[in-house]
Amino acid sequence: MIEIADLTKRYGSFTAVDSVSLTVEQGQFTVLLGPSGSGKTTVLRMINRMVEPTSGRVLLNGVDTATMRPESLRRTMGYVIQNTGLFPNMTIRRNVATVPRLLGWDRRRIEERVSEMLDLVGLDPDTYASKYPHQLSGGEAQRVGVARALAADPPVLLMDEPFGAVDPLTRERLQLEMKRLHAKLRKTIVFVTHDIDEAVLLADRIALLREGHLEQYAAPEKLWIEPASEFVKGFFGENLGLRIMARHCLSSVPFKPLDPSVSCAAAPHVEDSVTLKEALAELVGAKATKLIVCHEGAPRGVVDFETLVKALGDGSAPA
Amino acid sequence: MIGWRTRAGTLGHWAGVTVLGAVTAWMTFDATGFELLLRFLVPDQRAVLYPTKPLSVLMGEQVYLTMASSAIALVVGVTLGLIALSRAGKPFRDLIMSVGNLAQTVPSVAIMALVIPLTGYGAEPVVIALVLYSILPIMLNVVAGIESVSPDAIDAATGMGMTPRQRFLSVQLPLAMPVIMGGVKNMLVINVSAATLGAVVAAGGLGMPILAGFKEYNDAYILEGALPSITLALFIDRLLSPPDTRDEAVA
Ligand SMILES: Nc1ncnc2c1ncn2[C@@H]1O[C@H](COP(=O)(O)OP(=O)(O)OP(=O)(O)O)[C@@H](O)[C@H]1O
Ligand SMILES: [Mg+2]
Repeated sequence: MIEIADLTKRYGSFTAVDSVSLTVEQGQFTVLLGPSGSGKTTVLRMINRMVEPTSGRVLLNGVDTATMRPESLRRTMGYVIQNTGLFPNMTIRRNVATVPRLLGWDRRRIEERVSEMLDLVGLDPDTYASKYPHQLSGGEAQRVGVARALAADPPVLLMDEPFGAVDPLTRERLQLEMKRLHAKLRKTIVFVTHDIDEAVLLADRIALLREGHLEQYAAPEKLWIEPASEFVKGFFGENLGLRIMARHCLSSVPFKPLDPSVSCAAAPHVEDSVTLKEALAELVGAKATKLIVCHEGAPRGVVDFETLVKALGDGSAPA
Repeated sequence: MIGWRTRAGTLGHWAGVTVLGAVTAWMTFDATGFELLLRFLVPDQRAVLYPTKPLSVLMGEQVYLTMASSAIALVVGVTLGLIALSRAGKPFRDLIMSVGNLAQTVPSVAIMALVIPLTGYGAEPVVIALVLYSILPIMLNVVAGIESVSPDAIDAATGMGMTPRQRFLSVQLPLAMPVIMGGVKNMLVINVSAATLGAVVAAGGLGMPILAGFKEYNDAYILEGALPSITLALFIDRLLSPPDTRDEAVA
């Protein structure tokens, strides 16, 4: 758990981060979101003490990080940056092994861990371990960056616009994989972005920053239903509801009961594995007022526009 | 995944190195053979081999002058470069650079003339002149090399918990190495030829037959000193130039 209390950073008379307080629970995916220059990177880098705060504290599991040796602190936090920062003079194997080597793991264990990590991010160790960073595509390099950050199994992962420099298609793939990795590993993640779609897709909670201030810190659903200010409302815009629909799976919605005579093949239908947004698109696309929800071909219920919107209404639908 | 072009490039590189090394060694150690070559090149000259010292000894002196001056310049240049880069040295950086610059503007011959009253004749004045001349390029290459390292790599190294020392040794220095080695190579190549100046101050070296040939109108002596000096310089240049591996390793 990371507790940030009254964290402030001034450069001369300029205040980059102004008294920000927020708590990131164990296993929670927090996104720091905000316009350029709003202080996202500065907050992130104060967590691993790459930037020393002017005032305020960061507690890691109750321990003030200011009392820890910066190097030891950083070895417990994976760190991923936009341009990967892979070491061009080292193979992918050596890159991924960086922190385990710093921690003095034995060679066998490092070798196994490197393979495991490359597998985890979807890169074949036999093909990739001996390559050099310049031989990788942007997306592959970013995966290696994630594998390297995870190598020593740190409980915390800090990521600064990790997918900012890759093409939109690759970015979407990486985002989905990040979501899968988080669901699987339950790391505590602090993730910086200025991409609203990315934030809404990934975050358990979004911290919206503006000129160094924390505007609101809440789940995307809550930001939509109860924006704390006009700025929050305006920042997310009209599309937030639709973006939130992309977070939820249709199978999590309470369906309306089914007329037992219908079959999946006969009427407009969707699989229950799609997102609410996809279901809505399907509804509109079929020019229908309701859809039959099917699970592997077997009808399970009916959804209509009302069900879909109500599912979000109280902001309680689980991700 | 090394393409055939890369392999051909690497092969050609080492072939070149071997040939230049072999030619230099042949001229140095096979006096009879080299004499034949010189006779062929300068047919109307009776004496073609410089009589005072055999070429192998002259070459030894040349290599000694080159290596001594280059080694000292390397140590001093790297040290000054690192000081200029260090936090404590930042304020003195311009000063260090301009002193290095100044040393380079004074002609080597003038430096030798100035230090001879202090050191006497022999190897010292040449070595001092070459050292002063070489410090700046080494220093510049150290600073440029370290500063060329991508800030992202440094940021990542710090963020993953490397100490400044670990970061310097395992990231900054290896990444700066090609640039630093480029400076070392240039220094060696320049010093190999500049060490011929040693003849002027009785430090020996390949400059002696050249000087004698100049005085006695004997082109064969000049060639005897110049040819091995040239091939040695080329040998060092090739040896320290990275092989052409374009499709493998443009970092
Ligand atoms: N070392 C520094 N010295 C002076 N000002 C700084 C320094 N670092 C950051 N700032 C300023 O602090 C503010 C916040 O910077 P920060 O990098 O945290 O923004 P950001 O939200 O990450 O922006 P972006 O989305 O563009 O990365 C900016 O106005 C920046 O100019
Ligand atoms: Mg930033």
